[in-house]
Amino acid sequence: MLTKPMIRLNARGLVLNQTMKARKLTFVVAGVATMTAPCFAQVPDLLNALDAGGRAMGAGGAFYGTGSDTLSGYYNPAGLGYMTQGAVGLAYRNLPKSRTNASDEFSDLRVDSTGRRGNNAISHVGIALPLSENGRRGTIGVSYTIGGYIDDTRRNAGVLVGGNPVNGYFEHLEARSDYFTVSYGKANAAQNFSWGVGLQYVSQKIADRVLLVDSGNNTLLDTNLSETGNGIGLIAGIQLVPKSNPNVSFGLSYRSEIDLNNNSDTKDLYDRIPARLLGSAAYRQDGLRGGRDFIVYGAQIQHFFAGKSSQVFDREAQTTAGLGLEYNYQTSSFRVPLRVGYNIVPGGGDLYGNRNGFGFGFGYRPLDNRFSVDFNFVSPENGGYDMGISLNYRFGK
Amino acid sequence: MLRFLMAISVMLVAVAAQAAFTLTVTSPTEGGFLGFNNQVKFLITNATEETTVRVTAAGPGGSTVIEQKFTPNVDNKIDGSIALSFNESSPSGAYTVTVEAFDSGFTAPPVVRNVTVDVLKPKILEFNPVSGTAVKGPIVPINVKVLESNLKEWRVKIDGNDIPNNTGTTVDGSGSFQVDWNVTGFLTDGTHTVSISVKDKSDNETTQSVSLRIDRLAPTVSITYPRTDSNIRPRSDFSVIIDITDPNNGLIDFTGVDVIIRFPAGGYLYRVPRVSFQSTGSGTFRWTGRVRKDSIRLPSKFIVDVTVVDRAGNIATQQQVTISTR
Repeated sequence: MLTKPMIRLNARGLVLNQTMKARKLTFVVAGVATMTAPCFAQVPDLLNALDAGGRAMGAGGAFYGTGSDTLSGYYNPAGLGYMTQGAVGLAYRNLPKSRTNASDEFSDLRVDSTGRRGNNAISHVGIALPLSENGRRGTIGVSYTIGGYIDDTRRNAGVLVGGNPVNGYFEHLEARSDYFTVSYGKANAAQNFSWGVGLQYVSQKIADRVLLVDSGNNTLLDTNLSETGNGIGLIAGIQLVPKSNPNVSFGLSYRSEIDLNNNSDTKDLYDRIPARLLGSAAYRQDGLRGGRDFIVYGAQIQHFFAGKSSQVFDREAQTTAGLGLEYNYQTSSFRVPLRVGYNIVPGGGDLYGNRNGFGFGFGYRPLDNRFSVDFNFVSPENGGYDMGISLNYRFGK
Repeated sequence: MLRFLMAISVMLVAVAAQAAFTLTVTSPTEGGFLGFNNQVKFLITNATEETTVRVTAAGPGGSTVIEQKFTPNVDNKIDGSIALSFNESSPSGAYTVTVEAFDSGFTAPPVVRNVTVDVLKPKILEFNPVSGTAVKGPIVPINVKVLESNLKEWRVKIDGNDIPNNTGTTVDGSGSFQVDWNVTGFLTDGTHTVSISVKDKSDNETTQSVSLRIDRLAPTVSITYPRTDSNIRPRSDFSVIIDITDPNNGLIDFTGVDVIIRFPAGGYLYRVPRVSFQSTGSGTFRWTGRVRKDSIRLPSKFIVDVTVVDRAGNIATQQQVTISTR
């Protein structure tokens, strides 16, 4: 049994320890970067860092590493260890898109990208099954998650070859990383430490259509690549609740780099999904509104190690950050989480720029915690907007 | 009676005087060659009156008789000639030319010449370099193959001038001869006319003029596309564009452009097929080729290797560009 107050972030939001004291409601949006749109925005980079569309999306993605739901298999399988009931989860969101005006030498393009709203897709579906009642033997999770996505269309806005304007340039890039994860997490008896491991099978689509015609109407380059490779990676993580401060939770996970196979045509463009180190922290502030409400503050950093250099999917080291909070307003029959956050996603390679976005969202949770629904929105700096819906349902006792 | 005898004597003297002229044929000589237009030259001495000269040419095609009258000069000589012409329809071969001379009272013994009539001009069957060729020297061999069974002389001239060792009277077993033209004396490149003339023993002559261009400067080559930084995507169709400049309006033929794709270590991989070759100005050319992904699976890194030789055989400095599709 729990002997000390603690927090766990899961699909229902927070599992409250009723001994927590109410605290005064305070909104602090810490670390939200100033939003300024650059004159020339590069291609928004979500090749590795697409938000899977879960609850944390509206909070800048700050809660994934400390969360405990079906998305844990993708972000930090240690979160499965805290799941004492079976659950299914679904996330549905729009995928990002960008339009780019390209200029300058084709060998060293200058791009000016504008984000767009792309097609909607199921970005996550998962199930978590405890191996025993109360999850003492740990929990197995199986999930499908879109972890990276780029859809960029480039058009000629003054592209040169050898200093001469070209007659035509068109390029369409598409990359999509579909992760199929089987994971296992187990918490200790004190429920203040959990570990998890997982196996990830990645289906990686890479497509590049290029048409470059010079001033003499010579077709300099005609590329039509579209290939789906695959690879396998490992993920392991821990979650820790310090005994001295049960309102704090830390998460840490590492996913190995994934070498792609069956991608003979596109391996020069993208052949290795970089390893990811994820660190996350959350802090719960109780005692608001007479003890009924609480706030969870979260921060998360993902560091993607350098991949391979490439003409179109260049991968340098990339560190993303998410900062956010979630205010949980509780009535007698349901709870409404309201969240806000900022997600910092810098460019991770040549021609790629940031996709920082301001997020917000809300949800609905009956007090029996059987199901939850969350709506999240993100307004990226460089245009477009994201909207995600996530559903979770718990079953079992 | 005496008067009668004197009259007879005068008549005999007169007859004897008429019979005294002699006919000598100076041309053609025995065994000589006749061509299209010939002169039968003769000398008659002691001619006292108008004398008729008859030339009869008898050969494979029949006989031709030409007769003209000549008046002796004050020295009682006739130094004359009669034109004896043949044409292409006249069969060549052995002929007999008979020259006869007679006047009112005397006929000289005919003179007979056995000659060969040749109305076939020498034929220049082959010559190399052909007209329009660019040459670089320093020695330009000029090879000529002729068809002539009665060769008298061949001669090669440059811009109308003789050069050393430019004549001969014989050919080799295949009917060919060669003149080596040393072009080092020409300080500047340019066009020159080579005249090849062949003459047979009948003085039939054939001349062939050849325009040759001395080009001793190698072309320069630039690989316009792709370049090292051209961002060639893997498994793509892409163009290869080569710009060539040959100084002094030099001549480049597309066959002189060879574009090879090699492994980084230099091994042969693929010869880029030509799409077009066009002159883009005076002495400048653009060669365009295309690499199709279905034709060759290129490695991630490869070399485009360009070799250009102009028509004169001047080899441009080889150009290479290393392409990485990563």
